[in-house]
Amino acid sequence: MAELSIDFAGIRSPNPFWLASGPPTNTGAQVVRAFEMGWGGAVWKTIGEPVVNVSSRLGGLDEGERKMVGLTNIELISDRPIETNFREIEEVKKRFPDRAVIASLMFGSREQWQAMVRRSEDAGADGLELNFGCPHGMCERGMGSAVGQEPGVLREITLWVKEVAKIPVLVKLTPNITDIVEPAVAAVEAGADGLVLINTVRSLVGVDLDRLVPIPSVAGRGSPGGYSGPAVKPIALRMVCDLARDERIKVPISGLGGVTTWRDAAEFIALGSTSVQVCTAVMHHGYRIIEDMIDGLSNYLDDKGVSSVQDLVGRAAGCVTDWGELDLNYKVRADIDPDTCIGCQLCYVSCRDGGHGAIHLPGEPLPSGHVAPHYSTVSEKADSPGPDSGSRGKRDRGTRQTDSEKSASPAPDSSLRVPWVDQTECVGCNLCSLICPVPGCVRMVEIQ
Amino acid sequence: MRNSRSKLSTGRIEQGFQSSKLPYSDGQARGEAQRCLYCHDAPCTKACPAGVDVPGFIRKITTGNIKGAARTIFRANVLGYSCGCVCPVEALCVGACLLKLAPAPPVEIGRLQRYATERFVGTPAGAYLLLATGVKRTGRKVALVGAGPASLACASHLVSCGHEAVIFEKRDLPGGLNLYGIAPDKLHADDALREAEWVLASGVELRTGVEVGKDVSCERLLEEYDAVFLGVGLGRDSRLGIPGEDGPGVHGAVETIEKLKLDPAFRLEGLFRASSSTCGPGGAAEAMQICDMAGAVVIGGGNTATDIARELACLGVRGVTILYRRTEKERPGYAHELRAARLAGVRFVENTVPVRVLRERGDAAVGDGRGAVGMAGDAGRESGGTVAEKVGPLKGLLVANAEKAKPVAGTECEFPARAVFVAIGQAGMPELLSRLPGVESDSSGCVRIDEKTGRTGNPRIFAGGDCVNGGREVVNAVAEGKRAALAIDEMLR
Repeated sequence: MAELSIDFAGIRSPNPFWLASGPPTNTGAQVVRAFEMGWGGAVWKTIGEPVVNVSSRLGGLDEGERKMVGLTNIELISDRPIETNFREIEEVKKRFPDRAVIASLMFGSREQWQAMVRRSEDAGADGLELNFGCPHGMCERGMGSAVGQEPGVLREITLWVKEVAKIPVLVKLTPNITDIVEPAVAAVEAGADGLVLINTVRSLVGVDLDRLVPIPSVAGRGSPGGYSGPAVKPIALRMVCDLARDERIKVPISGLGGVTTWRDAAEFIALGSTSVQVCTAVMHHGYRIIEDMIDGLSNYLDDKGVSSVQDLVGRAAGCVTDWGELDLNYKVRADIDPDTCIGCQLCYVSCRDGGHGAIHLPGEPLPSGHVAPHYSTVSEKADSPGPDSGSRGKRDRGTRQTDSEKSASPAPDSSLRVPWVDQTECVGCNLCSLICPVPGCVRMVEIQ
Repeated sequence: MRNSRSKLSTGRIEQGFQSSKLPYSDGQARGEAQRCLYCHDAPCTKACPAGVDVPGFIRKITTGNIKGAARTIFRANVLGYSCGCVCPVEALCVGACLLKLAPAPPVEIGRLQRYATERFVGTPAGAYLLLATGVKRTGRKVALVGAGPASLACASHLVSCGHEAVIFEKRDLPGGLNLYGIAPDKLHADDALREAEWVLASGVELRTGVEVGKDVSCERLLEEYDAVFLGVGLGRDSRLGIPGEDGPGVHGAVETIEKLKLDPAFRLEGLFRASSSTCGPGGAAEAMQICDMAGAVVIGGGNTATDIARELACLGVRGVTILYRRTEKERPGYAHELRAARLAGVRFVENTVPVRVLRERGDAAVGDGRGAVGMAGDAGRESGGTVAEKVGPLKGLLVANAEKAKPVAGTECEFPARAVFVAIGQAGMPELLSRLPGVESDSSGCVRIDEKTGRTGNPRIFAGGDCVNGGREVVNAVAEGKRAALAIDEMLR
């Protein structure tokens, strides 16, 4: 069994999965339930001068039947009394001394910040997270992402906190900025012990086409919100990796943004995260997803012979380089397996209209001087390799057809529909392999 | 359109049948539609006789453009709604779905087509989808004989080309076999009627109760109209042509299905020979006769045979057997339909042919009476003892093993039956066809046409549907009606 526990700048946690600051960490009762289910840590819903929140607050983006691949929110920080939050932090920490409890803070003045740092330490918090990322509402009041977008201000506030803090200080960054490295370096230079990213992406998730108002709407009006969920993961991965690759940043990173499964978590870790945080996935599915996250990550590490989660941290980050360092002599070409191709010809349409016109239908002639595919390397069963042959790729469907009754189920026959790739025209872009509905049917083969 | 429901009385037996493929909810439809691969040069569309752009309309369902999906369907097939319900999709579009090779379940195209069209059929919003706007009237007139699917499709296309279309129908209601011949677990008559009247409302004139060749002469049609389309179907059930056939207990399958669907006074028990001990008068007899709904023999290997057999079994008839003169492999009906019939309890016996209908008394050569089998059966039932005394109640069939569909001498044996249903095809309309100059038919009674245009031997007469193809699907009739409409339009321009 791989070792899942981590030490994040001195904050210990039995596994790398922390609840991110947000609705799932709003109350002590919630965090207790999460810890009972196995979460390794929790970053409390940001504590500040209590706010009044709007109704409604959330808007989802669905993709087909999949609900909420993206979620936007216009909820602000905690609307509960400061003391209530600290009292509950104290109770939770006493009950779960082995878990990481981190107080997320957002205040205005130096006095307030420093008072609340002390109050957090009194409550027994293991660390502090400075919320410099919230992209809606709080930024209009000069806080949240307004700080994260101004490295000078970010540095100053971090210094205020570090003047008094005895526990690790984590700075949470906003992605709503041109270069994520700038504020990260400012934070590190000001003494931050760790970095947390990404906060939500400023967004407008949609328009209600019946009422012609933005989503979500508050009495018929809307305001840009913070975007999260699976849709933002690629943005988050890139930013995590930007920091992991920068030599000036020597503090641990807590990655978040669309983490839904152990696979997502493993990717964040491989690109440089020591811990990963989860919010939207819990809002969608509940705390119970932690069971598979721990189990899946553990099995993955075992399968790959990695002894601890710490050993995975940043393992893929070194392979990320500037574009200019990529090998221009490396070539791959698409290769369609006629044995598994079902003849939908989606690759043909994509390559013709959105690619490089390198995929052709059976019967289309090969331009002179161009190279046809060598199907013998893919399939021994392919009848004849010439692209002009109508029966190319034909094979016996009988073994795969369970219902071969004559008139009831005429077998669809793809043998005359298998497209072929003009090896001279193919640029190796991957598009056909991405849209092919059959796993493994279109392979990208390295050309020597 | 709503009032069309009142034209059919309630209490029809078919109302007890529920669709085996339930309508989709919005979410179910969207989910199923998203499974469609959206194939290039899609095999499902190629497999559709009417040429419906299947991936095109399914894509529109995924985007919530249901009206657009319906329009895509109706443009290719005005009876897209009923075809969504009744098409043997397993043998057409769904059978060609490439997802089957993935391997994954094929997309349920029929149900999606029903989903896309159902809400528009019979509504003003739906009529808007059918009406052709901005079409110049040509002043040309086309007469269509028979108001079944072929004529409806042909007339609708003619109207959209600017021609005048007048349908002559000898019955009271439009729809043809779509109305009175579809298995009730696929489509109810009131829905077929609603659809037919809705198609007619797009500008087709319908004259019901008018039989061409009797109430109006063929010559007059050819005089008054620029072209004539024959969509007359195949008429009455064919006869077995064996001794003892005429008399109580032997019924035509098409005729029986029609009664199940349309006649509220029809009682299935009346088709079965009552047990001798229950021949008492009044309610007691009826109660006892329910027990007699057993021992039905269906003759034939086509889809009508499977339909009637399954319907009988579903209605509680015990012991329903299909006799077929060839092997199961050779039968023309769909295998999936036979499978469903078997699940309902129907027994299928191959290589067996009836050679004589056996009767209790007077079992003899009285079997060459006149008229259709169904009429003879009715007469026997309705007139009580009188005919029965002459002919005798049904006892069963004398059947023989068949080799290449012919009885083998010496293999005869008795096959007991309380009711026999003849489903060996329909007799055709030779009388009507003989009155149309230039119109020829082949040996099986089907109208001879040019395959590209549907034109008969008479250049101004076109034909389509069952009377041409010998009895195929609604979608084939639609395709053939469209084909003729295109040719007629070309001729009249």
